[in-house]
Amino acid sequence: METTIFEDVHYALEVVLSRCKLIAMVLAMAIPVGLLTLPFMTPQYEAVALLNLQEGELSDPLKYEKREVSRSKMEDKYMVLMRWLTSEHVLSGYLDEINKGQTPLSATQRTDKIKAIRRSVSIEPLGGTALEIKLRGDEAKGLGGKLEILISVFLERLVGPNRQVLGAKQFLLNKYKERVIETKRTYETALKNFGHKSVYLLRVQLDRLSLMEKQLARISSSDKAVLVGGKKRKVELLRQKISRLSDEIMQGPLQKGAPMSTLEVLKRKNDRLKMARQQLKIFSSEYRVTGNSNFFDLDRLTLLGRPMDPVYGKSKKLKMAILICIAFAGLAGGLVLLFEYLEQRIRRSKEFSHLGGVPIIARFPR
Amino acid sequence: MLMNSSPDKTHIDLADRWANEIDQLMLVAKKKQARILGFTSATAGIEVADLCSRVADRYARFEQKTLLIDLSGGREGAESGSKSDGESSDLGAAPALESAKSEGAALTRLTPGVTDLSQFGSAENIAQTLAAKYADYGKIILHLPSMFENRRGITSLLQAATVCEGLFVVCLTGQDRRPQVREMFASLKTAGIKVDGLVVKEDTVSLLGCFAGLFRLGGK
Repeated sequence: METTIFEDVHYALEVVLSRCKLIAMVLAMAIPVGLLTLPFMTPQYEAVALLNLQEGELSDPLKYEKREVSRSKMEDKYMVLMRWLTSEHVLSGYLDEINKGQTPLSATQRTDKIKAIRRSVSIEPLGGTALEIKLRGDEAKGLGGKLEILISVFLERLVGPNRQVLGAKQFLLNKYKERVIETKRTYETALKNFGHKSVYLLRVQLDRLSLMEKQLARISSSDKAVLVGGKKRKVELLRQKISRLSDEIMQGPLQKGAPMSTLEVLKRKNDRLKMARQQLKIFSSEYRVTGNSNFFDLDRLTLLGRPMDPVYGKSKKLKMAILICIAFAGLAGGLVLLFEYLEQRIRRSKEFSHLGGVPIIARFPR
Repeated sequence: MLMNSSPDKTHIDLADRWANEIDQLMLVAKKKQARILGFTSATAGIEVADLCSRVADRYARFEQKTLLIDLSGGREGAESGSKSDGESSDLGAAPALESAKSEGAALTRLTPGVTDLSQFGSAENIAQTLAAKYADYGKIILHLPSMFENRRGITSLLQAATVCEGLFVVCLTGQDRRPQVREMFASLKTAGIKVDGLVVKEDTVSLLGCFAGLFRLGGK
């Protein structure tokens, strides 16, 4: 039996329409289910901006040398940019900006807010060299402005003083330098304030002493020599050195009345320096800058589309409601066709002719 | 049993509307030079009686002496809304002939009753009866019972069908099921009966009708 697609579609529609009651029943079920799910859904809005990755100087947009960027390279880039965008320092900067003039947040609140922002931000490649940055929120008002702040903070972290995008390694080195300078400045200030230059040296001595004591603790009584810094040292000499060092410390600035608080301050600063170094290591490994140091050296970022507040927000509720309706309509249609298949009623005239091998002479509408 | 048929305006309108379809049917019968035309169906409730009535009406309009015999046991007639006066008579019996009443110029309707076909015994008896007693009719329209209405009546139906010079099967889309239709054609084929054509009643579904149905459902 030869039938055209149009006939088949018409037949299927006819079958589905013939089961009005069943469809009405299934759709009647869809309404309460949809209503029940509505309270569990929150509306969500999106502000979108376009970011372009291009080569050339940012200062002169006319001199851009547009070049085809391979898909894999683009994917790498947007992954890295996504990590940059959602990194702690960018998001905390953004949080500071949007909370300007308001009561400062507690550490826990801050962490929670940063986590929430991280979830609501995304970058997607649009093809070519364009990237789409989205910020989702519960309300439409001011969402575009927030996205703009986020992007400006993000770009500020990437753009150096000469308004050129820096390489990631360069950026990190600069940051590290800044921290080292800041730490040194803090040391200098501390020393200046307390007037005990030897306190810093004392701290170093204390560190050495503690290290040695640890090493000593590992040494058993039978050992005569021990490896210190790759060199063999006599245990006896080490003991003597320790006692001498402790004597020096006891006779040093502490005895001269150096306040313990100064030591604590210095210790804290020293810890910060250590932490800064550690962070740099983690940061480098996380963003893979050590292996690909000039990742952003040639590529430039341009903000193409200025983010705007969504006029008609993409409501998650609406989307879900539509999806539920489609699902139930599909279910209803599927059920009808299944019943039809199981029931084996003939609905096409041609099928009678096919079954009996007899021509149809007349057709009457019932 | 005599059928009191006084076609109203709607009936005539419908007959006119379906005239082309019925003419096609008549054309096939003419080509076959069939005098006795049989109409049957797989299941009951397809209004075969109505169709037979229209065909007979059409023949009568052409001034052809037509006899319409309802062998379905009156069930189809009752279903299709035909009125009966309660009398019943056997096809082969003499009183049936006498009670047969002419309608208008050429159409005679005869409803033998429920105990109809089984009383003939064989196909030869039916043929003889029709040839002997109704020889003066130009066309004889036999409304045969539906095949799956009464299982025990299949043999009688097949015997009656062998008498028909032109046999037409009436089908209804949306009601007839594949296994039944398949079985019906297989039975006819086994009995060596050739079906000359199909008359399909299409149970069309209109979008407007569906919405009306939904509205009614909502109103309840």
